[in-house]
Amino acid sequence: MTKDEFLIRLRTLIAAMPKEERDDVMQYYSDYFEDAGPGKEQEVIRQLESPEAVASQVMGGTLPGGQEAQDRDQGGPAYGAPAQGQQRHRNGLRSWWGVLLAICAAPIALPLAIAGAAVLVILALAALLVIGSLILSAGAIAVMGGISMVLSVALARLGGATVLYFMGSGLACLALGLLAAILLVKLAGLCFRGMANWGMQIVERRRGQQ
Amino acid sequence: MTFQLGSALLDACVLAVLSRGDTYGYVLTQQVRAVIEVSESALYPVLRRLQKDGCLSTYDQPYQGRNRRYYRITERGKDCLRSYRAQWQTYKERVDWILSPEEGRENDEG
Repeated sequence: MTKDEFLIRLRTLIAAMPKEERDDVMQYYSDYFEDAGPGKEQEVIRQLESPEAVASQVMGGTLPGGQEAQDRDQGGPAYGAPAQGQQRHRNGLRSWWGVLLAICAAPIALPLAIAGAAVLVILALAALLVIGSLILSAGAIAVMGGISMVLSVALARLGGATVLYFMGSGLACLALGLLAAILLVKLAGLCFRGMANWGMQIVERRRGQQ
Repeated sequence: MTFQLGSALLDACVLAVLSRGDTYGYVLTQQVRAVIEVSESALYPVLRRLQKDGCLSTYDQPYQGRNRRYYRITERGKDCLRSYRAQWQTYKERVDWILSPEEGRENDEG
């Protein structure tokens, strides 16, 4: 790319700027090439990286370190005020537009959002109830197993095999029921922790965007 | 460079270079770039902003058949620079303090 190609391309990219500012930019960079001296054309182009990079900087793209507003807020001298006001003005315009859109979308979006939230809450409740009932069932089996073991002694008159049978199956039920109950409780804990994390992530992302 | 350069510090550097004498865009950029790693095209927005804030002014001088634009620091720019220098001093001292490898320093101070 030659200097002229570079400058022509740059001029195209900043066409949206007001004429006076655009002319200033073109003058600045055209002078820049001139002042670099003969033979330095390609070096300057290398330093400037590309017409796109220059255009983006010139039209208010990322400043070095990308900390413009932050630095000014950190108590730089009041001289920064006009630029900061401009920045805030630009952001204010964007949020006004967002507010307007939100108001227009509200009649549909709001009930939809409420319904969506309600569905999520109900799903969570349903999951809770399902797991809860499963835990209760497991518990019931364990208790029955225990009772069976205890009662098996009372059936002693029916013979040792009977006693062994009821005691053995009772023990199995007790063990399986307890195991199932413990596993289900752990599962429930995992589910709810996962749901809570997911919820926190959504909240944080919203806060981050703001 | 590991540490990112905030735009306020870049303003300060440009003003400092100009406080040593008027100069034009190309030389100014080379001088700043000699010390700070910054993309070439980053200087133009800085110069424009400083000009809008009244910290520097421009004038043209004919050179080899064309006009060369010179930048000059204003009184307001000098005040600005003084303030930046003071803030930098404080900032530098604080960073030195916290980065210093002294071992006798207790962790619960300040």
